[in-house]
Amino acid sequence: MKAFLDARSIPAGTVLDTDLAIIGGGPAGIALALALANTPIRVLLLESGGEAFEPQTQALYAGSETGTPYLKLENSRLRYLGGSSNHWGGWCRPLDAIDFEQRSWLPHSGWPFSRTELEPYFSRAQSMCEAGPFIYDDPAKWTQSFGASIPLGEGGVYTTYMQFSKTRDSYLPTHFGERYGGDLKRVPNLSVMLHANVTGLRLATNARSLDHLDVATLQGGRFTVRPKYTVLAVGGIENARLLLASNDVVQAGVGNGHDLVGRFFADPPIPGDTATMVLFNGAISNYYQQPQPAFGAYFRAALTPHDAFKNRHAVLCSLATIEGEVQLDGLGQSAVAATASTLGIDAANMRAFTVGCGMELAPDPERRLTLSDERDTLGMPRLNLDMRISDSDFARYRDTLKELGRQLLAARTGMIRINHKSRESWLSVMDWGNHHMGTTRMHNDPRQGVVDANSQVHGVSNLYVAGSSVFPTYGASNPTLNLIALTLRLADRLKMVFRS
Amino acid sequence: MTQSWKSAISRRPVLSGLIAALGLAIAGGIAFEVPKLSRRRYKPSPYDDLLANLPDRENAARIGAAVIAESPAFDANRTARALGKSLADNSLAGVVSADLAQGRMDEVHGWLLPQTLTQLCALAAKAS
Repeated sequence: MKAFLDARSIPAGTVLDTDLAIIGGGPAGIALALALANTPIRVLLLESGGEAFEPQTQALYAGSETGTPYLKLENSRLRYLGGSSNHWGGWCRPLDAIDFEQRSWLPHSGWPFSRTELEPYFSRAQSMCEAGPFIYDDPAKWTQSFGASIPLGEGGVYTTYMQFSKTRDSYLPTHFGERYGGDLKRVPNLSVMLHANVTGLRLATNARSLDHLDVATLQGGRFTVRPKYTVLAVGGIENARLLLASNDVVQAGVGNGHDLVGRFFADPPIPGDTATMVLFNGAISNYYQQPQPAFGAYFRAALTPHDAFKNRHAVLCSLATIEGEVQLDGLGQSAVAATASTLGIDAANMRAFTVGCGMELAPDPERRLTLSDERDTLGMPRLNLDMRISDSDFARYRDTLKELGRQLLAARTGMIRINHKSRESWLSVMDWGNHHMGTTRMHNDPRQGVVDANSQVHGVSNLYVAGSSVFPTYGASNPTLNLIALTLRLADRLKMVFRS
Repeated sequence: MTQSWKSAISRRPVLSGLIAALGLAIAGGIAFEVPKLSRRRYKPSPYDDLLANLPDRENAARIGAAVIAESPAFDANRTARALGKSLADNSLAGVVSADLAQGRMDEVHGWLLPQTLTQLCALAAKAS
């Protein structure tokens, strides 16, 4: 087993040649490096941080935020080996089929391929996430042993199941750097270099291919990597930053001929206490509120709209989670008493719960990252994020909650109060998923996407992008499992490219 | 002296029977009337026939007050006419089920309620 390299020990002016450079040692970069392990491809993985958190490196993320109040850019991700998997919640779920479809009612929607294209990769991605067997929407597996799901009348919302990543011998989610560090060291043709900050993607003079990478260290070292192919895998924010900032040959930046890089930024809102759910008989299975161990996995239920309902009512995938128990006010008690008696139900044991949300945003080109005039200690331009959230995003989730309320009443199971109506009210309970997506979106048409269906940057023959920045629409499933599946697909593509 | 046939009937059992019958009648009357007496009385309103469908009129009236507060233009008479038609040949439970099947729901301070129930609640508030 060989040790990781350290960029701080590379002499200034050095030129390193490699077959493939992977920029970024997060889940996508690590998954790609391991997927290419048994090939003759010489891979150099460049990671900005070390093996643990370093404040000076983390500070390179700092930027500014305008528009809808949002998180500090340096707070929502981590810049060391393993990337943001070092603080993820471990939630896993494959995207729904509809997430890949072009929908007439949703501008800018549609991936260049259907979900079936990713299905061969989900099982391996699941394994990398250590999330147990891939048995998501197989309710019998979960409910036979762990209690019934909430009875709902026929309609558009159903119980779905999330699975959770876990590290060995603990319940914490898999930290990819810690978990796969040893594996990375054992790959013969792979070198992992820490503290290597890529500061420029330098195009050949014809701008049709990438010539080399500028690399810098916080200690002042500067050297060059000259790869045959490069995969950019530094997350939904830094992918855009590096492309935009590499503007020496093409003024707009690499891959930005149609002014798309940095646009369509998305991070799923997770507003709290979106609704109050009453169950007339008070009965609820534990797996709705807390992850439960089963079949070698940890799982938890959520309530999500069916694809057919989404299309019929133009709603997105936003899903509802059931959280802690709450007490009803006087009006709530009257609403329950009047409704239950009308339905002929005994609600003496009723219980009420607060409802959480994982909300999907509609693609919006104006929700975007741009370079600011500020620079970091390496001389890289910092970013400004203009965050936006549309009233229609809230309205769509309300429509899903209304359907859930209708189905609860139709089944004589319970009822719902929607707790927010105005924009101000929604924003007052807002939090974010820290899932950065969309800024190098995938589309076969270069006027609508930064990368093509193979994740290759349009017009740059040897540059690819990995990670959720290529998601053109986002779904409500957490992105890690899906971006790893997509990265494994990219690995197959690269194997083919190198063979040819 | 011969005894008359009347004298053969003892007075005591007759009296006891009469008293018992009277007692039963009184007890039955109480059993029949007391619930009526103890039931909350409402001032007469034009909607009493509709409101009789509500099993819990007090809580319904609280909801109704919120409905009217959110919809000041609520037209009680028109609503009553419409409800009268829909409830003429159907039970409240049946009409509410139809509301739910058809997605006819109202939002009252965020609470999602079947439309017919909401309207009855508003009438209950008007009548109170």
